[in-house]
Amino acid sequence: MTKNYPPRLRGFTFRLGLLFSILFPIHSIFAQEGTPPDSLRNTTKDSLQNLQMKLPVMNISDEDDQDGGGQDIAGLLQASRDVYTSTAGFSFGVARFRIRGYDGMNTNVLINGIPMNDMEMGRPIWAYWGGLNDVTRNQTVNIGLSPEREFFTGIGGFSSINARASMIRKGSRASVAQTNRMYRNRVMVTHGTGVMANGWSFAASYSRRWAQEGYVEGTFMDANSYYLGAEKKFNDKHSIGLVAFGSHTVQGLQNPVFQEIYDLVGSNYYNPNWGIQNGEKRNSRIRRTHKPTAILTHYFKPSKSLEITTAAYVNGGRGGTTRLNWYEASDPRPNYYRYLPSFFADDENLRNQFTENWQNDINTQQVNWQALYDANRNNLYTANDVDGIAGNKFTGARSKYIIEEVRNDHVQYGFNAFFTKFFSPKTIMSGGVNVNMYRSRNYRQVNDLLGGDFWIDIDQFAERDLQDPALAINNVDNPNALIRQGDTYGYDYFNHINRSNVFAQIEHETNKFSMYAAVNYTFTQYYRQSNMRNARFFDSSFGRSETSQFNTGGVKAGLTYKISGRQYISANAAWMTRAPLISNVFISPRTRHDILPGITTEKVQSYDLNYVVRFPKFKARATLYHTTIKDQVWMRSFFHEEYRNLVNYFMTGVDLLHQGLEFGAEWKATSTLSVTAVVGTGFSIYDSRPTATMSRDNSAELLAANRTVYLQNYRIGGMPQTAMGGGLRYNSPKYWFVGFNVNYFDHIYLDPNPDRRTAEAVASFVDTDPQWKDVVKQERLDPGFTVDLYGGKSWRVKRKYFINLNLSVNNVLNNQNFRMGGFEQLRYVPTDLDRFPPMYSYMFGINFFTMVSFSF
Amino acid sequence: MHTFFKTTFFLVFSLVFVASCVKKEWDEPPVTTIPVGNILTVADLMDTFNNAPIKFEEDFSVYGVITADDKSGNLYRNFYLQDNTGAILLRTLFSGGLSEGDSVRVALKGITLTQYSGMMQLDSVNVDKNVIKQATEKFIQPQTVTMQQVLTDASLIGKLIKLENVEFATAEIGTTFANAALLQTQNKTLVDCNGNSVIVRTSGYANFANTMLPSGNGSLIAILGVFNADKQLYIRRVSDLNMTGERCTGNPVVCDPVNSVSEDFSSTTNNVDVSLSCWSNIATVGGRVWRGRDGTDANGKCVQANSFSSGETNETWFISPAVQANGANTLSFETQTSFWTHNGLTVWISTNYAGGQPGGATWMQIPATMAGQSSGSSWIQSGAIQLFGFMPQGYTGTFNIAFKYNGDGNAALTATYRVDNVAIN
Repeated sequence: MTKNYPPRLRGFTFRLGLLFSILFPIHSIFAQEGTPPDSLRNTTKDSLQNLQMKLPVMNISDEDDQDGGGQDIAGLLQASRDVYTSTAGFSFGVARFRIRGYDGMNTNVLINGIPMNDMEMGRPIWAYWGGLNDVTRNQTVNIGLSPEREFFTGIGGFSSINARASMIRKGSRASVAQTNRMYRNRVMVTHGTGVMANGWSFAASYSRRWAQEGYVEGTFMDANSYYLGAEKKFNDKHSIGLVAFGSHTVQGLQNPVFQEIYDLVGSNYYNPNWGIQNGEKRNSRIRRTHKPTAILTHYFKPSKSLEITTAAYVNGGRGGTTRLNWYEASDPRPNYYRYLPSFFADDENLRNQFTENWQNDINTQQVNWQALYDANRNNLYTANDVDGIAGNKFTGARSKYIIEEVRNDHVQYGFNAFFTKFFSPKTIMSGGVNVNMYRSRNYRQVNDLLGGDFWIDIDQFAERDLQDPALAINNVDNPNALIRQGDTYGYDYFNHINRSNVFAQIEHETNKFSMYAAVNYTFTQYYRQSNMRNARFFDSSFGRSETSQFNTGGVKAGLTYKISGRQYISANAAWMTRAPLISNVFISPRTRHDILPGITTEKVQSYDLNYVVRFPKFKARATLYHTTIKDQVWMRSFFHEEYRNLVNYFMTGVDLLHQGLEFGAEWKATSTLSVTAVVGTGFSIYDSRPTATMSRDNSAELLAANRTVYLQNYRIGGMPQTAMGGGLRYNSPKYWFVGFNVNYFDHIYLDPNPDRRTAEAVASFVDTDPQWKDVVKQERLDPGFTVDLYGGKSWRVKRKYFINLNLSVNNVLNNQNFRMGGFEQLRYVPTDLDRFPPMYSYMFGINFFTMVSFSF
Repeated sequence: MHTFFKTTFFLVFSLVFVASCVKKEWDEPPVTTIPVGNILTVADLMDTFNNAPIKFEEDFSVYGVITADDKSGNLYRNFYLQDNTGAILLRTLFSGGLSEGDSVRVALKGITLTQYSGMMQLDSVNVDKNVIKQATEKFIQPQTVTMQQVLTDASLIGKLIKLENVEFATAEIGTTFANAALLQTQNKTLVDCNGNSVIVRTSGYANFANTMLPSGNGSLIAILGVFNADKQLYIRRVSDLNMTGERCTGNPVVCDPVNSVSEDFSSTTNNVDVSLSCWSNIATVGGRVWRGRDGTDANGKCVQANSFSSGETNETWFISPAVQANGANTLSFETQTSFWTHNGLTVWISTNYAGGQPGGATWMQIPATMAGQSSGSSWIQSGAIQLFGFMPQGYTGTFNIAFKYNGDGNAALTATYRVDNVAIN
């Protein structure tokens, strides 16, 4: 694969590979394009093959959640002084580049010292505080392993935001921005008093981001974000601060589809979620999130060498995403496979007809709202034994199609305390304790009956599979209820998470060395508590489940050797365990309490080695990293062709390996011109043969167990594993700057569908059959490159006001064919893979962000 | 404050609150009306048909009531529509959407009238677009007909009919409506007492496919279908069958498999050969069979076998009714011996015993705790014996339990064995 690199880089790659192979255990990597990395034919682990060192990359945040925060987060990382991190933020984030290939759960976000990662998803959810750039700009960003005095942070690093009222810049700032991505307009106003003579500080910020239609057709956004901060400094020892912030976000979403549709409609930004209603575009998938946070903090400095910060906080609110649901009706989504020309491979007439409809008929291309309303209004139905009362009848229009909202509302209470003790300027000890009680309510709610009068809460799969119609009832305590708009149905349960954490850290510095070590212990409790008794699981669906407990901990340490004042070598290591996510513990939380057999903690090991130079005109950092994460659980729900049922597919014993290199350099060629070069490349692969278990919501019986998934050495998909960038920047002494970056992305793979890598999937082929290989091989997407431009200018008016103008343009060449990610559909037919082809996402074409701000 | 500041804020807020409403609420779209056009009856449709498919390009409507839907899974995307003039099959593009008793107007534009192997049908019906519901629960009563009419009256095809005094053929008893495990459709023969017969056809996808056919005689409600020369009945649900009466004279009594057995033999008569319904009492060697006994102890009535002074070798089987396997069946019973000379009793299980002589079936012996030399006159409890190990894994068929007595009629092997309180669960 070195053929993709320019000649000079190839040598560079080779030397790094050699260095790397000396430093870390070498891992086998597959050799040829198109060859499945794991082999069903081999029963032992693959031997060493053709090691080829790939250079590694940097990570922003998971853009999958389309929170529109990407635009803002990129800005956060750009604030980093590390050229690698800032370039990754500005130029790589849009391609879904992830630092070191890590999932977001490996990175911590702290606001005023409080860990903000979502308790249920593990990742920081930027949407909770999106749009508050003015008050979150005071932050420390560190990627990879590093000491942190507020919390025991993960292997991906951390972002520690200081949003104390006293830290908000004194004065006022207002800005107006125009862009054409998730949103089009942004306004932001912020005012801070600074610390006033009476010891009080106040700050407030408000922003709104909105678009009637975003870059993608049918998407829209309306996000109102706010921040309020107050702080009172009583004396040199005591201050108390209160901050409250949140973001109320409403957003119309896009879903990726497969290539046939993009080709039919002639756009790689096709969005199946919307349709025309009364002449306007209506999106069926709308996310509404509002989960604000309040933090009350006591800053205590009993002596010059000791600082103690204590906080109580609360966080929570509503979250939910709408989608279409239907009963006894055809799939209303335009991209359903049976509505596509390819489904009619054997019937030319139908194929031509559907092709023509796809090209010309808006109601074929998009959701046909009118037809859904018509079907609902016409579906006269008599419901019997309504509310479980024998003989109670109701006749009305029973909705066949509805919009439901899948809700996840949570509330979290927490207590946090940490101290920093300076034994001397060179020996610092810190530590802390963090206690959380978290509860989320998960349920489905009718959002719109689409012209019908009611919906009945029964399970279609249970109704089909089980002879007794009573078993299809989801809520035994309220059977045959007529579900109206706003009613809860289907399932309704709480996820309870209690988590406590303590850590301690020591840092020490000498003339030649600096070092740190930290240790942590975490106790986690999970349980499920359901408000609904399900007919299929009369005894195990309602009330409280047993409690699942995990004791986890970790140590990390690092050592820096200062070759000179301008050159350092440092090494870090971490070993830690952590609890699986609660969504991986309960095998079918929608219906019952059952816990995944053999659930265990994840084991994480990470090492990195860094070389840093900081000359006045040349700064660079090179990092090698090697990380293993073992015993992860992977869970998805999907329709399985073999069982003709919605299955919950669990893999246990999923091991991941991330290794690679990061390099970033900046050379100030002249006082005004600087040159940057950034390379991130690595392997992020599956490093085990996990065991799959399949359950379904409607039966305690396991559909399959102990199914071996031959996943060893498959690449983790959905992100470029190689990103490179180079740029020039001109800084005029007259307060303006301009620059550009050229970026190259490679090693983008489709994330493998595990069930396709099993003996069962290829059971009908002999291993010499090319179809065997088609089922198990991994698709690599084409590399892509982009060019970004940016510039800005500042003015000072009347010595009082500052005006800043900033413009950035991404993908200047308007490359609309760059697939930045995708995934294999989990539903598949081994003998007809094209029936459910992979989904692809394309990077936006040329897009810009421009902002004018005034400060005074 | 500064003018500049004020201006800025004014501009910003006017942008936010005036120019930027993002729509969230939706008006409902107008109601679509589907024209009625000319109204046809089912008979009109039949008359129109001339052996070639007809696609309706104009607005026509036919009114009727749905007599059978696809909820049970026996019919798939097939619905039967009936009016006063006849009945016709609606074949829909998607499953579901219509319920039995729905009074509907079918707008025929876009639909094809055709015939499949003798069955008239309206094909490619889009329930959302072609069917306008007028009312619900207008259930049509089935027309009671004779088997002879079923076989000869073409005007009944597609209609909901009721047959009385019918039963499933003897050879079908003990089987299920269809093969649910393999999802295979099966035909079962239904007979009347005059020797007429018709097919009952059931899909393997029907949610009652795995239900045993009823063994008695009685009434049945079904849709009458046709496949070329064969008339076929499609059942909507098991409760449409009421077949628990005496079978036709001359047709042998058949025993349904049972889910459990709990027998204390209180209906037997002392010293009379046991004749219990659905139990088999068969001598395979010699002439002696199991007899009733009025015990004087607490157990009271029981059954017993012995070979004392029979003057012949005896082998005699006492076989339980067929029991439906459930994966966790257990057996328990009590035994007592008298004039013990030998261990003459054994217990057996078969999964392929079909009645009659036991010799044709495969039997496995069940080790059990039983009365013997030292038990005196005590009743010995077998305890609950797990049976799943004696059946194939995942077995869902039936099984029989047999008590076999062996003796030789001479003083050496003549012990009396008694059995009581047999429970199979």
